[in-house]
Amino acid sequence: MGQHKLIFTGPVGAGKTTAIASISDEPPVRTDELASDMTKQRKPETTVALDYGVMHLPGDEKLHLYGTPGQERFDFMWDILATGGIGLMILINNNRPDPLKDLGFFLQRFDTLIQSTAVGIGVTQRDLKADPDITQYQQLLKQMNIKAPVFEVDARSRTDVSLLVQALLFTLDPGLKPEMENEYVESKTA
Amino acid sequence: MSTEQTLKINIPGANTGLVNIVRAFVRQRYQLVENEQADVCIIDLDSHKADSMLASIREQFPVRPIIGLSLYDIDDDNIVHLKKPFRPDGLTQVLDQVKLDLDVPRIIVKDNNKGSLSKAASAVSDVKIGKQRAIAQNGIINRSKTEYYNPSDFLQGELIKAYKKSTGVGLNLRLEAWWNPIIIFPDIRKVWVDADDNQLQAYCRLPLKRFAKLQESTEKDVKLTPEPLLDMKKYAGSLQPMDAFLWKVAWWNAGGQLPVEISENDLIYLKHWPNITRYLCPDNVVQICAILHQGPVAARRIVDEIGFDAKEVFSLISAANSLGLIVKDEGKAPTVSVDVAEPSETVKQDTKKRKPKNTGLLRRILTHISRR
Ligand SMILES: Nc1nc2c(ncn2[C@@H]2O[C@H](COP(=O)(O)OP(=O)(O)O)[C@@H](O)[C@H]2O)c(=O)[nH]1
Ligand SMILES: [Mg+2]
Repeated sequence: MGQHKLIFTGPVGAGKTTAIASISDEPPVRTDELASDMTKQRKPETTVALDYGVMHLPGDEKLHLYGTPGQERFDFMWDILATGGIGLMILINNNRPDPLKDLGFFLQRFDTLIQSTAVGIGVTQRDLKADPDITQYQQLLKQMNIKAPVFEVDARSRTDVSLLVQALLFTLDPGLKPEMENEYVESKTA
Repeated sequence: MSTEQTLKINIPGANTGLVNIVRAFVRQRYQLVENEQADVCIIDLDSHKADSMLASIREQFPVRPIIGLSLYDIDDDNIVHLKKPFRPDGLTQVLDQVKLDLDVPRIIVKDNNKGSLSKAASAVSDVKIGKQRAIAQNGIINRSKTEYYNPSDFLQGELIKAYKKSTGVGLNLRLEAWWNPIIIFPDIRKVWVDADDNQLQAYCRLPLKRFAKLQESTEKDVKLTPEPLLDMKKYAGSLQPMDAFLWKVAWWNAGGQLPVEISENDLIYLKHWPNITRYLCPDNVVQICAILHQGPVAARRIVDEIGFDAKEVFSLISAANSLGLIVKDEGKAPTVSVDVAEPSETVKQDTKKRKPKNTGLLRRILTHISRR
């Protein structure tokens, strides 16, 4: 059946693991797979840790939720993960030294995916550090000529994460109508 | 009537002011209806027409309970007295009591002819439902015509002025326009308000002038005082972000209307997304924002084409506008189509990049993730 994925990226501590756990239908796993082919030159014990969760849609369809591994040396994985994604979620930890620069970095790094789909940006840990505020992120987006929702998000809150995903979906298609309950049942049994 | 049923209220002879107050103060369980259908009447006993209205109600509906609003004590045991000025919980308490009394099973006296209800009994029965279709839930009448409000008649206007001053000079300001002061702390971009959302929402339905009257004060009572020495710690408990507070005040001030400066046919768009995770955010806000963010579109079109409740669309636009997020499009940009089935040719081009092939999948994800 359909295999689709939604990518979560952002710096370490931004809340990727937590956000995926907030909306996943199954307890999220952290895969510590041996990255065989790509790391032949590297030490054999090298592993790639990425977050994985899943949403079960009607008709055996799945939406896979992937969090990009944080370590810079695994960023070759990012392109592999991003290919075919329905959209991108960037989480930014406001409590890091230069969160605006972080956002600039991730927007550029995932430019191809963003240009062909859409991006939603969640600013986490604003309860721990209020600056920069959301308008500064919006200014940055404007400079970079990117139109995207930017919300304050607490990755531990399902509502926050869900609102950001909804905003991403409606950015992809503002005319989207949720399925009616009976449609849902029909497609489930189809 | 059963406990689940709404209590139907009529306010005979009242000006829109009092009607708005009651609308503001009561919730789902109550409904404003026309005289014949009401379970209870609310009468402003201080109005000059009070005596004649009272007499006429008692004539027509001898057993119907009457709530009388007055600044003064009254000695009529058949009137439930609510003393002015009253607070929302005061009004709901009285209404709850009346509802409880009515819920007690009543002996219905049958007239001898054709088994119809007696005049008295029919006064408290729930017939004539058809006529009430025009009256929506929450006591707000479904308007077919777009209505407008002037933000400067409401708290919203004063709040925006106060925000500007306060952030301009970087000083804490106390705004007195209400029952309780609002204190603005521009450094941390927070406001202090000593009221919960229910109270706020209720008071927001009142234009400031009307509010001043209710408080028995004169209209000049909007005051701004610098408070440079306030100890912020004392207020920490009920601080809220300035933007989130203004958003909801504007939402409630609008009450389903558009601000006068935006006509329903103006092409408008959102400068950027509001920070909706921290704002008052009813169900359709995300989608309406996405539509307004995509490109210029008329408010009326969002209502007609997507079929959203006009009140929600208009309130959202009012709230976004209070934060300066609504831009009027003066140019000739094509309007954005919100019609998924058949986008117009121009729009197809305009949004080619974004027009996904996988609408079905997106819908299923949306359905899944919007569940609570
Ligand atoms: N205080 C606070 N903590 C948060 C917020 N969002 C996430 N966290 C916490 O931040 C920590 C790092 O999150 P994690 O999901 O491991 O980040 P990752 O490195 O991107 O996967 C966890 O303890 C989360 O519970 C937030 O908005 N506020
Ligand atoms: Mg992690």
